Amino acid sequence: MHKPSGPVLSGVLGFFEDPQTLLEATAKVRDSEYKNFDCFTPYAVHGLEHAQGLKRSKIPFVTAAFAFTGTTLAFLWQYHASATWWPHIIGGKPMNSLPAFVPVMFELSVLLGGLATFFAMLYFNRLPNLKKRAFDPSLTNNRFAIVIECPVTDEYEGVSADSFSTEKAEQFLKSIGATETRKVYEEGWF
Amino acid sequence: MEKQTEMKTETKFEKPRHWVSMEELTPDYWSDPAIQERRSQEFYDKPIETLEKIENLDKAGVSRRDFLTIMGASMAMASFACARRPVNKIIPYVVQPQELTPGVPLFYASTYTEGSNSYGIVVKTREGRPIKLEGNELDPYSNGSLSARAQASLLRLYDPERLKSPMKGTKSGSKSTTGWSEVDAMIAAAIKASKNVRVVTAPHNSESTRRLMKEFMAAGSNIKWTEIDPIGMGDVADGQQASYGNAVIPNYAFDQADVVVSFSADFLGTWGDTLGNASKWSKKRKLNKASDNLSKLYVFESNMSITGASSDERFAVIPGTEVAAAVAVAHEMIVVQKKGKFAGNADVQAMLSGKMEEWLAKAGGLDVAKVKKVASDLVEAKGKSLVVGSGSVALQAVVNLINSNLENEGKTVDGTADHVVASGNVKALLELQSEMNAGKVDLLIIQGLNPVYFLPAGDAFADAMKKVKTVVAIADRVDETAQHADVVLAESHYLESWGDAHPRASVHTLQQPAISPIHDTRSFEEVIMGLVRAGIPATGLLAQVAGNTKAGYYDFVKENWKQSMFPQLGKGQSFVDFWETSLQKGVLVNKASSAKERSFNVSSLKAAKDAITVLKPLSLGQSKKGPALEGTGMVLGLYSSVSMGDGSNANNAWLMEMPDPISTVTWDNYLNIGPVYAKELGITSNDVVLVKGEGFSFEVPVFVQPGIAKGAGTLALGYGRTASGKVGNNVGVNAFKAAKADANNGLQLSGMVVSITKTGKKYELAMTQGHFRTEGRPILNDITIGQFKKDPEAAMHTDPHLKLKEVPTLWAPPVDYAKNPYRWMMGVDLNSCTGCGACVIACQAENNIPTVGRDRVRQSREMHWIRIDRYYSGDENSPQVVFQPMMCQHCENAPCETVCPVVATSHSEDGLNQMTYSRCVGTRYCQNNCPYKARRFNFLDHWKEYKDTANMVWNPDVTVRSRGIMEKCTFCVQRINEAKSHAKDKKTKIKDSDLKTACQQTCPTEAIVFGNVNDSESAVLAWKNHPRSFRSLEILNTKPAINYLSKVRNVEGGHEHHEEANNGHHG
Amino acid sequence: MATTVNHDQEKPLVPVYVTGGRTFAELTDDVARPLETFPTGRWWVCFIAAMLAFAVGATLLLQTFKTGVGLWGLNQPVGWGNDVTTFVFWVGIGHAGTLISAILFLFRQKWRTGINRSAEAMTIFAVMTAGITIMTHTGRVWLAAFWLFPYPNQRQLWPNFRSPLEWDVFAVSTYFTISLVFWYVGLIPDLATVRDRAKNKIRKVALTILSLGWRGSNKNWLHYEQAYLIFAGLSTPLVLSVHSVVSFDFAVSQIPGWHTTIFPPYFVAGAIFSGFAMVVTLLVLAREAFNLKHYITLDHMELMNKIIMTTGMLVGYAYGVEFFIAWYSGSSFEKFTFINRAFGPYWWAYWIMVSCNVFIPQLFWVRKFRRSIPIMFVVSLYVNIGMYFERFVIIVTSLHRDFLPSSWGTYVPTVVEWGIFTGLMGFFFIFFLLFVRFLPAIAIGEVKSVMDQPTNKEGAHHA
Repeated sequence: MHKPSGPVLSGVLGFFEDPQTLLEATAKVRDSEYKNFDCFTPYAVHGLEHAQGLKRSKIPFVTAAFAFTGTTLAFLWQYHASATWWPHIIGGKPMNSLPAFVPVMFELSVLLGGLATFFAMLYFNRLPNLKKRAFDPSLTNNRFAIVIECPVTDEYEGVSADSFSTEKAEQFLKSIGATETRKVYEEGWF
Repeated sequence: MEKQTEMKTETKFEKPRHWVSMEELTPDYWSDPAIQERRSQEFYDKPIETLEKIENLDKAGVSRRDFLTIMGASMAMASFACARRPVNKIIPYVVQPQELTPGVPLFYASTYTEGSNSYGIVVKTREGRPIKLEGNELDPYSNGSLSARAQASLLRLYDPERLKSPMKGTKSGSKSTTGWSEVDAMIAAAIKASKNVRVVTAPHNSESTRRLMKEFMAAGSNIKWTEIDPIGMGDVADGQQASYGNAVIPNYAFDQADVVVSFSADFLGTWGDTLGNASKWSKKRKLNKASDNLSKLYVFESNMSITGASSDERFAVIPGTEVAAAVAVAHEMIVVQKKGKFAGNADVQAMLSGKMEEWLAKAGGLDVAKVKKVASDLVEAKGKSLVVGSGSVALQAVVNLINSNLENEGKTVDGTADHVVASGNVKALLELQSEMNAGKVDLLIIQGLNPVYFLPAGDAFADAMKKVKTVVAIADRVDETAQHADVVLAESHYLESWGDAHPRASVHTLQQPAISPIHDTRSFEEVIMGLVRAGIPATGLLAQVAGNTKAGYYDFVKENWKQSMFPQLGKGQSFVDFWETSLQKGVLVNKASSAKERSFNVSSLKAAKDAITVLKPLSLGQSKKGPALEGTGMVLGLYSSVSMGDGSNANNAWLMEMPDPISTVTWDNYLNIGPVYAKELGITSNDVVLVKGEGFSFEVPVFVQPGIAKGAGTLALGYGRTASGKVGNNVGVNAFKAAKADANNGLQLSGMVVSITKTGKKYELAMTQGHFRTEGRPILNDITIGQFKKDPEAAMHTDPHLKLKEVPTLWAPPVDYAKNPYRWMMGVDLNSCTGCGACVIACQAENNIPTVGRDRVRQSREMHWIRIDRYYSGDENSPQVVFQPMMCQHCENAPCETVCPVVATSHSEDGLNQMTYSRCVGTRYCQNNCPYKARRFNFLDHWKEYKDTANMVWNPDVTVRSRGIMEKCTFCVQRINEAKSHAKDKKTKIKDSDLKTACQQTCPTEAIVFGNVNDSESAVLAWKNHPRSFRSLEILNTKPAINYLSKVRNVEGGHEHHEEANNGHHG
Repeated sequence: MATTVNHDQEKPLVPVYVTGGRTFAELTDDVARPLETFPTGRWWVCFIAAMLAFAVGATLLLQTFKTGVGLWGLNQPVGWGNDVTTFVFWVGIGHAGTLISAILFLFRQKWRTGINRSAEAMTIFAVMTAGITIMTHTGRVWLAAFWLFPYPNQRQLWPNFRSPLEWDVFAVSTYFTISLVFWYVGLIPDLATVRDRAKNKIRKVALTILSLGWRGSNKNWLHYEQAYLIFAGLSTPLVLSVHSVVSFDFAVSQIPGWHTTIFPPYFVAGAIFSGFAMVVTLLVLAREAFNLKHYITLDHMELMNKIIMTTGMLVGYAYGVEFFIAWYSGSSFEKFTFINRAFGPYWWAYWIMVSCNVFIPQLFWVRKFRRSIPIMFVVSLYVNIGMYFERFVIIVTSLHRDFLPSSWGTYVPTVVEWGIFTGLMGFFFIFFLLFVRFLPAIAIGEVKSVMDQPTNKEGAHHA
């Protein structure tokens, strides 16, 4: 196979003007030979993940795990601070005043859970992303797009690197309702 | 140094005997200034710098050394910038006194004298500073207690405004300090030059002083000495003189009396031997079981005093008409009931003839039936009753009659054995004044007295002083009187000077200095000694001691004791031992012969007869609201307040900020008017009225005080000073101006008819307690003897619904307090507490509690750790009063501890609620959550007000709190820890006798006990299980560590539990 | 062969959240334009005013640090006054934001999209203000500033976890953190939008970094939506807990008037009440200033006014219940406290509270008033005042006459305290004004998701 010179081709992009057409088109791409593609939309289009055939996100498990850690840590911490490290007699209350510890336990669960969620989201989304430039300004404004990515390796289920022809892809996108298509290249932000 | 300069001035040169180098033998060596400069540095403390100077190398302006110093300093400052505590220089001892260990207090026995009373005290000193006064337990009268004024007298020692050396030219206005040698010479010359020298002083109840003066006056016959007690018990002495022929102040045995009747004699607060009275009286008020009997106290008084507040039955009388009430009682007893020694006596009958109803009407409309009851109660307790009075000689005559009639004379009244020898009163002063006016006095030496202030016609006295060639004042400040003197001799504080006291036959006390004079001052005796040394002839011991330049007044006292006291008291021991033990004890008691009954001279009743015949029924002028108030006739009575007395302590911030026990007003005096009368006049508290009388008028704020008779008003003495100092000047009005004084009756403080006019101005009095009612809340327990005898359990609970001994709890307590060797608790007996406020000041002195000033009190930010809550119950016009000392309750379930976010307050295993100042961040949450509001917050850096010498009063064992910190009663934890370490040394446990809190120690009625409830012998345990014991607000289940003993009144029947009247709110 | 559907003629079946038939592009323009142009004179006036107010407050606060809290009117019975009142006031206001973004999200209330961004911003700034207040109310700020936080001293002494004030520290800081993160997550796509239209180089770089290089890939949207949902789920109990914990400051203590179980729900209702009032106050101004009338529509305002009226009646109910329970408890202390509240020395404060919070919002029964900008503005101001007094009444009237009549007193805030109060207002508005100036005040992405289908008449040629 040959090394491509100049900017690395990343795929073929087709613009769509409204969510409905995008949804229908995405479903068609999903069922086509092109397995490696993604949609770009200015907002979260409802149902697109199904049309695109994406699996549910794993974030909830992360959140749960950290939330429970928070609860436990909070209890152990308060217990030892009040009862073992330097116990003080406070208002005739028992050293382990569990009811009094509940608020902090709750708050810490939320805190850890929340932060975990945030970082998990970044992780799964490969954010912050400073390498891959947005394909077109309008994609965060008012237009929608499907990008069929050209395969990078030879062994690629569906079409092989050699057999991948941008023309064919563009044709296909047009055929499913793209108002405009173009080749897009790997570009960084700066 | 001096030698060098002398040398410089010398013209003729002589070779030094010892020389170090050849050139020293040449004259020009010595005359060289550079050399002199160098030699002046006997030891070069900064040799380099000195050389630099001499070799003037410091062209740079700042020498290398200085530069380093400054640099070091700036670095130090930079690193100290965030330190909160005041940074003070400390200087270690070069040679440490062997008896002194830093951190370990030394106690010296000494004597506190006030008027004709002297009490033995123990002075606690730390590193040479007196920091706390306590009563001397060997004193048979104070029993180790001390009054608020005595406690506060410590602060006067450190008053920054004390005179620091003698002053001259005070009269001319060109004040300048001078030296003792100069004034000695000057006064000695004056004495020699003058025919008639008069020395007037405050009472010195001291044999040594009296001997000193005798020997001082013996040589020159031109000197005359008078002791004067301005608002003391002159009337009593005169009355005794009239009735029994000896001018004494009897010793009253309140502990022998089952029925006590007082006619305006505030014997618990301000009248006579208050400490002795209170402690004796309270012995009959302890009610430990239902079978115990309780003495009964009737009080007829014009002002609401703490004695009246502690009485079982109180009669509000018009000021000056007490005599009428007294006569009524005597009449009922002798004429009507025909009881007692004089029942058959025709002369007495004649003297007492008249209509009881009339007298009682004149006295302010007293209930005849009740007064009859008083008489019969007295008769019942024949020989075991006691009547006292204060006001006029006439009143004294009747009082004496009743006592003699009931054969109390010689039993509860002791005028022969252990009485107090009365000193002169204002009469003598007025005689002196007329002499001065007549130009008969050439030299006046006046000590410890301020007649220009306390005489009604003070200015007249000042004018009289102008007619005297030379006036010498011996005072610790240039007060109103000293201002008119030619020379003011700076007087030492009593803690700085030697002396002794012999207040009554059975008591001898020694006055040891606890600190050497802070300033260049002398005691009165030292002044006299100085005069003798300056050439005034003296005889006997004085001459002998003064002759010896090394000797001082100490030697005089010692020698005097050797000659007079040692023979009678030092049984079979050497004088040295006797002297040393006496110094240690401070108080020596010798058996007083038992009292004998004196025969009553009936003719003395004449005065009373006259007095009541001239009494006119009170006629009030217009009493419509508004301007019609003009010219309202009102009868004015003056009283000395518990804190201020005669006003000599006006510059004492502790006393100024001490809440009046009754009104809780601080920092001012005010006109007390009864509620009904006030309503009629249309004036309320804080209204300023103009008071006009014969030859005086002043504006004063009104305070509506329950328990003052209609048509009467009372005003406290001791305020309105103009030359006392920053603290005391222009606080309130000088009530003495309203008094009457004449050569026959002396100073008369009540019965003046005045007119009051509403000015429309308002003046906010600084009160510490705005609300006067318990609102029927389960705060304290106030029942009658009847209720108690019927059901002693009634006293156990503040809330009638509460019958549980222990409230069940959801969880086990964190520790088992019973297992701990100690658990600290306190008991407070509301029946013994007279509200005198001694504990408040003792606590202030012990715990470094700052004063905050009038405005801060108005903002209710006072810092006292103990406050004495005073509640009224019953009818507004004759209210019943109960005092409740309220401080941190050290609750087992302390609400304050739970809410502190930083664990700045927690509980110790021995039951203390601890405050960790250094941890406190000042959220004030604990204060909000404290149901007793016992916590005090430092809103500002109050300690900064204690400037220069005043700083020395701090107790080094207690942290001085900076702003932003919460504080409160600690149960004197510093004392507990000290006791613990002593116990540890002795390998024992702390017993009651080893430990007393400041408040407990000073309480004259033993109303406070403190100790370890885990110790089965402890008094506090007994009080915990006492039938009268209850806990305040126990319904909240805070489990306080303070057990109060219920107030039980000796009155018939049972008034409703917590009887209340509505709207008790002031301001 | 673009199949663009034209809805212009059709009557929308779904309620209209954006009026004037705006397209996506127009929406983006409308929201982003204010950020790209030089601020208006009106903005500057407000900003400078806020700065001045803050300067005054800051000076007085420093003065207080130097001299001590003695400069305030606090005293022996009344340990808390204006300081803690202000704290509760701001925390309360801080509730509307998260409520709108979280609870309304869970309830699928689409109309929230128009207002949630600014409401969240308000929340964050309000909580910041509250934080300052609670830290500086202490006597020794220099220590409180770190001892209140869970941090042991060298002897392993930690804070007292039994103290409600300590719970506050956790509740408020957690609430702040989570709200901030939530808000930022919401901002990411919008920042990307603004980035993609940025002309200026620095601006572009800055926004690229802030937007974390968001490209709107649907794979990202998947996780993004999931995270957003979880945040909503976490914030809902959180927002309820925060004011409950604040109410514990009072409920857990035992002063009559504080020691009440009704406090948590009562406080939360009050918080939502005051929060929405503040949102209305701010949005009325915002939509005027940045003509966002199409996105913050009268319908939005009306809905908020309905909530204000409802919560207003909730607090009214609470006021009533307090009295009933005081009587029903049979505790003499409780009874007295509540009679004293309404008829004691602070009766005026109590009746201001009742009329502002209960009576005045009743206007909203009338649709005309609900939809009238001037009226709702005035009412919202009254509610803000009323809610300040609610906290004042709870704190001061309970403290100034508690168990022992001997230690009763009164409290009057000093000039210094009012100065600091004003300064904090300034502090809040400084941040809010900066927000509307530099960040999209409306959640562009979310609004797009609830707009009816775009009508790209000439959308065909963009690149």
